Amino acid sequence: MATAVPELSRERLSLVAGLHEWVVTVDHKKIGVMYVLMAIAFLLIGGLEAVLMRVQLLWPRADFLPPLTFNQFFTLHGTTMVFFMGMPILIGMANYLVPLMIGARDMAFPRLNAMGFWVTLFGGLLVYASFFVPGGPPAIGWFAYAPLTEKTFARGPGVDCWALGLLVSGVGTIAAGVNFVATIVGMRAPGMKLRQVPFFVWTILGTSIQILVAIPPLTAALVMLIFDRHLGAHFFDPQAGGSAYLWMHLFWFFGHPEVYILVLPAFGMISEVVPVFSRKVLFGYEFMALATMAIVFISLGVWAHHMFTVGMSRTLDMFFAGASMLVGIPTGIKIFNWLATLYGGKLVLKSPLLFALGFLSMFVIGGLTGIILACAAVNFQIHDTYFVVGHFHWVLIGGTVFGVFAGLHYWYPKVTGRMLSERLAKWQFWLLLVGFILTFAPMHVAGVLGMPRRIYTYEPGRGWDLWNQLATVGALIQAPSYLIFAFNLVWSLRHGELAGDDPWDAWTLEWATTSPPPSYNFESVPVVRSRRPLWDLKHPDDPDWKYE
Amino acid sequence: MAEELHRPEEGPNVEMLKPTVWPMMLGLGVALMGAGVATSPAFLALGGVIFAAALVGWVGDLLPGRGHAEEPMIAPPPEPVAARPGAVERLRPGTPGYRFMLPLKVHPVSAGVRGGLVGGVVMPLPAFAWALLSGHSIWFPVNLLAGTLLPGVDGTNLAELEQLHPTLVLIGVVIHAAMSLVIGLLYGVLLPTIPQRVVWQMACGGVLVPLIWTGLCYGLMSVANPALRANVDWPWFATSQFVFGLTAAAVVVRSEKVAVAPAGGP
Amino acid sequence: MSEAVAVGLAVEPRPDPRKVGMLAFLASEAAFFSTLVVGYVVYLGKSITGPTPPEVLSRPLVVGTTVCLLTSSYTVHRAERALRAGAGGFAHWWAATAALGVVFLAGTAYEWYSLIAVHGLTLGTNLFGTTFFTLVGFHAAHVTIGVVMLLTVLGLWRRGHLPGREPVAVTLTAWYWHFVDGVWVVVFTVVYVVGR
Ligand SMILES: [Cu+2]
Repeated sequence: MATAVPELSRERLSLVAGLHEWVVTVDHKKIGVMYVLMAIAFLLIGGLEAVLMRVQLLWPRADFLPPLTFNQFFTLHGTTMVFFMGMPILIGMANYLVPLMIGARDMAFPRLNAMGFWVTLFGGLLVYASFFVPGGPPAIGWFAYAPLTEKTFARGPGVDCWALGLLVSGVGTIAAGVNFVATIVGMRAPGMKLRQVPFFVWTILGTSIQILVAIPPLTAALVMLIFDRHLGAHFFDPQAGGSAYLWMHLFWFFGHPEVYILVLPAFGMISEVVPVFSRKVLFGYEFMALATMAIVFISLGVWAHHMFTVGMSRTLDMFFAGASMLVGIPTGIKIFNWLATLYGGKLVLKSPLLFALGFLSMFVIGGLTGIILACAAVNFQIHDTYFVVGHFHWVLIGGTVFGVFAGLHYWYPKVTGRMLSERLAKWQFWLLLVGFILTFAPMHVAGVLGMPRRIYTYEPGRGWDLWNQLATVGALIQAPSYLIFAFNLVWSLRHGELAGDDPWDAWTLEWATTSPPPSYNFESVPVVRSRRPLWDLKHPDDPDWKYE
Repeated sequence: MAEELHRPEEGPNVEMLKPTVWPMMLGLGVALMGAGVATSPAFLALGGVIFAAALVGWVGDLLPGRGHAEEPMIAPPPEPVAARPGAVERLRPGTPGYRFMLPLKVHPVSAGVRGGLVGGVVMPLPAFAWALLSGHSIWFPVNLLAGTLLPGVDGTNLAELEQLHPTLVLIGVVIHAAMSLVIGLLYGVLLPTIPQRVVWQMACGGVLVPLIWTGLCYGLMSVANPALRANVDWPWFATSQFVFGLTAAAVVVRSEKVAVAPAGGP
Repeated sequence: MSEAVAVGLAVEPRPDPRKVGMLAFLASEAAFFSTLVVGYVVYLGKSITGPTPPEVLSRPLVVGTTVCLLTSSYTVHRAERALRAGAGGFAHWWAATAALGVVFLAGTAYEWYSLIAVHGLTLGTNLFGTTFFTLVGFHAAHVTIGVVMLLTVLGLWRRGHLPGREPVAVTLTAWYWHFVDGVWVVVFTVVYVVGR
């Protein structure tokens, strides 16, 4: 409807015309929705791979999946969840929300925005096209250490599909980063200062800066890899003096900021949900913004904590361990500010807050195991074990996924005009929480007991059986929660309660327009004088700007 | 292409970008070229052609008057935001549930700086007393202090550490003055934030902080300069910290309180 | 806007999002080239076989092309100034910029020809070839894109599609061109001064 000429909009569009409308759209809201749908599709695919791997690890010496397939699955699982689930769902939600939150009609570069979505999608398809090439998908792990990726060891075009898929989708990610920076800096509503934007916008600014600094090195590294494989270059070829070590540095220079690219927007969503559902303003907004920027810059200098065991110098080990622990300080500031926001608030225990509380409790645990791993001496013992697997899943699910679910439950009424079913949401939440803890807590134990990651099976009698079985049971409990969510999305589209424009009695600009918003977002954008422009409209006798 | 968009327009029409297929085609071209590198040159050529065509099409969209269209604002307007005057009452002192307590007057931050300076003057006394009582020269503690920063100074040459070294004295004095100022400033900032009773403030500034500081120094020295750590007499070290802390806290506590700026703007 | 004035708020002017976007894009480009430069520096002197940079890199030729490229930064600046002043000469200065870019590319082509045909240095010969052709090649590709952008803008301007004294397409193209020049200063220093 956004794009149709008036006489068409009254007729019922046929399926083809409807699809065409989405293909040619430059509307940030439609692009955002497409990003999210794509991400959910990849979430289900990547989740299926995970469940199959967990089934294979249920018993020692199981042969449910052949070794090669197992290796291909953990490669695809990691790649999918990071590049085609995590980043797209966050970029998609930001796409939908940032212009609405700052009172703009669209992103700064709507066509570039559309291009970014399409290359991300095509990049994902290119990676999965590896199923149809000789040799099948790559079996190199998501960080694709050289020289395993060189032509000598990976002959088939699977690795090429992987590398080019990431390269292509990386172009889209950089485009999104450029677009967000331009939009946030240059297109805020009249009167809205940078220190008055909803906090989610701050985290997207931080994420975009990280995208601009961290993704291009990955692009360059992938180009080097492709040159090695196709033009006979020697970047990562030890026999010609090339160095596998360079790949590690380049990959992790991207890889560590990547985890903050994945988690900062979730921080932003939590920072929107927690105040509205505890009926208080966000505690310490300025410090939260400062902490976000501190995370952005500190986390650019910690990448080699993934490489303690390759034999860097003692000095480097100490530097990277110290710098990594430093990230805990701004992160801790955020945790305490959320707690202070909740403290004394009038909590509304609806699904968004439920997921936000899940986020708060789980993310702290993931952060603590992160500090353990940042300690170089301990890292030497548990490097590349299941402890690491347990840790980063705890951060990425306990952080990103819980945060994203809080956000999706919060903003679904804005996007569709209907509420998600609370009942289904509660089922989803408890299954996810219990299943998640049961899957990943035992992994820490298995890791400490010495179980290496990325093994397709294990010998009996090492004491790992029980922990693996618990983890698999946990995965099987977790899996339905995602299906329930997908079902809830579809079901509520028809049967959900009508939401109205502002179902949560919220304060930011996206709730000042209709649900769903028209293509032009706002008929007229109110002049913004505080962090809670909608509050100012609702309470003209007691506006916020008096207190800021 | 974007700048005109974000100002609210007058009238029932708004200028929006036209939908266009070129961004998708450009993406398709890029992806096909990627697939071509991975598999067969045919894809590469096809992707290149699509890419070039899409680029030309896209530039065409950028020309004035081509990429935009007037769109009528026909969607139903949002529900008017209902004003709810008086619906919220802010917590004020005296309202039930009010737990927010701020002192009306606190010690000024500058008192902390003064406290740090006075404490810094008094603090060397126990250090010198220890040096003389334990049979060292008075330069020994000074050299030790300078040694925390200079890598070359350690426990290997004790006789050297008894001598007067102008450089080391200068460095020692600079470290001492800087630390006294910084910690004094910290006192000025922190002491007003704890309950405004003299006992609490003296306990915090005179005992708690010196204890923490001693522990921190002990821990850091074992990493930074373990040889030096062996030469420090830690009970005496702690004593001089207490002397500093009590003096600085006393100066802060005795200072004239100033009114706190009222919360919120005008 | 008028509403803002009515409530007595000073509405601060916003930076043009297109310019902000260009700066953000150039920042990401800088990160990309930094990585290639790091790759070059890390592998300096690590080649197992020859030829080595001092044996094959000819400095006079590159000094010549460098002068061309640096001059082109000046000409593009003059073109912008001419347009802003409303005086003639924009098209000449702008075309001169593109021409200098083409001369630079021709110089690079000649250099590559002699490296490949005379000295037998290719991407696959050794680490020097690998890193050299990648770094210099990506820079040359950016110059090529820059020349295409310059010519496109020139064509559009001739047809009257870029009205005004400071069309943003002109400004952004000029920025991009200055950036590519700046990258070359780094590449030149690393490859032809320090690394040789
Ligand atoms: Cu990391």
